Amino acid sequence: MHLRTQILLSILGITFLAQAVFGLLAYRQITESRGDQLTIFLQYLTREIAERLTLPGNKYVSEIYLEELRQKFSTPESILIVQKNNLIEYIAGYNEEHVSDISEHLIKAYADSDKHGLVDIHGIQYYWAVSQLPDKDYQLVMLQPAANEEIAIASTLRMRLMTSGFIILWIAVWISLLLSSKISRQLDEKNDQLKHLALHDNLTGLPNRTLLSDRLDQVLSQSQRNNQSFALFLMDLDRFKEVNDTLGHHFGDELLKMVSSRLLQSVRDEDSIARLGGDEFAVLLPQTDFVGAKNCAKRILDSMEAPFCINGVSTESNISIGIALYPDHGESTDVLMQYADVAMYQAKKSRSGHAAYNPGQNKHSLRRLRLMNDLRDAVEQNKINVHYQPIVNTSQQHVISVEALARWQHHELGNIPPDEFIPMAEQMGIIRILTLQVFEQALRDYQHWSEQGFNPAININLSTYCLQDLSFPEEITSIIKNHNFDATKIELEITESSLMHDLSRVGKILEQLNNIGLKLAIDDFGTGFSSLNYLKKIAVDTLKIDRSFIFDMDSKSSDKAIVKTIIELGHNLNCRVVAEGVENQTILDELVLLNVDAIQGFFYSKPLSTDDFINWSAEYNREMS
Amino acid sequence: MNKTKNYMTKNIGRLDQVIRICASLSLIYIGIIDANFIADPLSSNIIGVVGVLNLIIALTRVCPLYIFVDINTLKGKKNKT
Repeated sequence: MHLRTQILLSILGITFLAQAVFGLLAYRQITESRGDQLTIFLQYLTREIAERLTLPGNKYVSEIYLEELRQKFSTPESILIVQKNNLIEYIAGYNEEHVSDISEHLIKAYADSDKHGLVDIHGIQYYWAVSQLPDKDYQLVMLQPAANEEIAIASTLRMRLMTSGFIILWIAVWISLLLSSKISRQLDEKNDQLKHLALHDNLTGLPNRTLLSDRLDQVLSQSQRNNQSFALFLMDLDRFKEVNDTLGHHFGDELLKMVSSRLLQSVRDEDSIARLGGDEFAVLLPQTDFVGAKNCAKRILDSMEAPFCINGVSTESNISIGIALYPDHGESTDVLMQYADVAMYQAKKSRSGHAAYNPGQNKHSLRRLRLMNDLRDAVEQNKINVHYQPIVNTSQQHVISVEALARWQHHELGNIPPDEFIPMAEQMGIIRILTLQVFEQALRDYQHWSEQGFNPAININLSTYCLQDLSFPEEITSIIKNHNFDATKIELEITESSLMHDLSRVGKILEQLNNIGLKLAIDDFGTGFSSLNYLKKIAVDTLKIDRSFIFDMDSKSSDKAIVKTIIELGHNLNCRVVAEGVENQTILDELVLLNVDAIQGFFYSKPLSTDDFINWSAEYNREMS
Repeated sequence: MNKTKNYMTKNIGRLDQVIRICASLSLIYIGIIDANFIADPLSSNIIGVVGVLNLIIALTRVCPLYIFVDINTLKGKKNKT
């Protein structure tokens, strides 16, 4: 409206100014030209009369002749004066009493202008004109009253000018109103478009985070006023990253669009859905209690059950919903958002599809949320370190290999145990990048060691998720090629449980890795509910006995029996058997008696950074020799 | 359908109406009542007619030109959806 007023006023101002200028000019021109015409006519008359007066024998014009003239030119009220040296000699058509007035006025008029003009005598306007008579001393002056008619015409002219001006102004007002409304409407439209762009997500057309928080504020204040509850959902597609990576971003985008349309169908009209970015969505349900929120979550989960068919490829996508309720869980928007986030991860973890915020798990979950955020940064900035723990063979006490272990030093929370951050990385879909980084770094460090004369094999842990990814072997191959590394020096450690999912797929990937020359070790052997069936299907080089059996084997006979059996099993399968978690000499001695091939554990060394490992290794070699 | 409905709806606010009534009354005065104010009968008639029309519009509170240029002084920024 402000803009509209400005436009309106400026257009009006310009119109008004133009009208005033043109009107004034026109008025002046018209009145002047009228006056000019009259005086020109008067001049003509005087000249005519003056000529007649020069007729021989006629020194002065006679009264009768003047009367004739008046009638002839139909100027009954005109006054004729013959002057000699500016003094009136003769006057016709005027009262004798006022002669002195006339002469006074005329002298004044002569002073103002030269030969003709307008003079006001006793309230009557006269046009006057002067002509020289042949006798240089004499002049003829003729006065003609400016007729009422002329004055009336002039005033009519002025009135019409003003009226037409008024009408033109009125039209101009409307035109400017029209123009300004058109312009401002166009601007409004453009503004609305821009606003829409700024507040909505491009891909799905759903509101974005900014608009959601705005609506959240509104709903919050409304609920506070009316003592109502409302619910906030945060949702996340499970394994969306994998879909994006394996089927392409275009596919991922289409999936998001379909998900958003299904979401729209499964909520009420007054609920608002927003896309917060990536595969994260939020739903705001005003005037909803816990039961209503749960029902809505169920509806959403039901709607996601049917597979998504995109370009002939159908995929299933599950969604995890975290529910936070006002006022039960929190009374501010930030808190609700945070709690919904926490609840979402609880839902993800429990694989239940949806979960309401549970205050009991908050502390743990808040730390977890923070770590998840920071972990992404750490992986992006390559801040995950690799430490190495030596594995020593029992026969010659040589360091035969080292296990590469990822370590994360958080800038505020300190050392984060791998048991905590590795599952997070798996959940966030960044475990593959993390694994590749560990690979790169291990190979780099290895080159460093080989310059110093150490060349043990390297054991690297693989996550279950990496074993699902068909492109993984290729990437490993390219890294090994880039570093010009002997692939047989690398042993991949996988857990038994990773072999439980889809053995044929995993087997294919392991076969490809084996073809490159990589060896395979089963980590934490004996803890993974394994059927041992896989041992005949894939080529295993090493079995690593889980530390839980080793710890108590000197006191628990059952543990010892298991260890013994595993060692025998490994040897029968032509595998090397490594004992993990060896911490003291007694256990080491027992293991040597049981004929284990190699030892890993704190007894030799804890995991060390690459520099520390070089020092340790040099010292160890010195001791041995 | 909508357009015809629009022609019947009021679109002149209270302040707008008061201003219009004052303006049209003065126009009627100088145009019709006081014949000496404007000597020219044509001009005074035109001004008088404009005044009367404006008075009718002000009393009915429906301004057709407002509809045309999309202005509504009755509810302020009502047409902003």
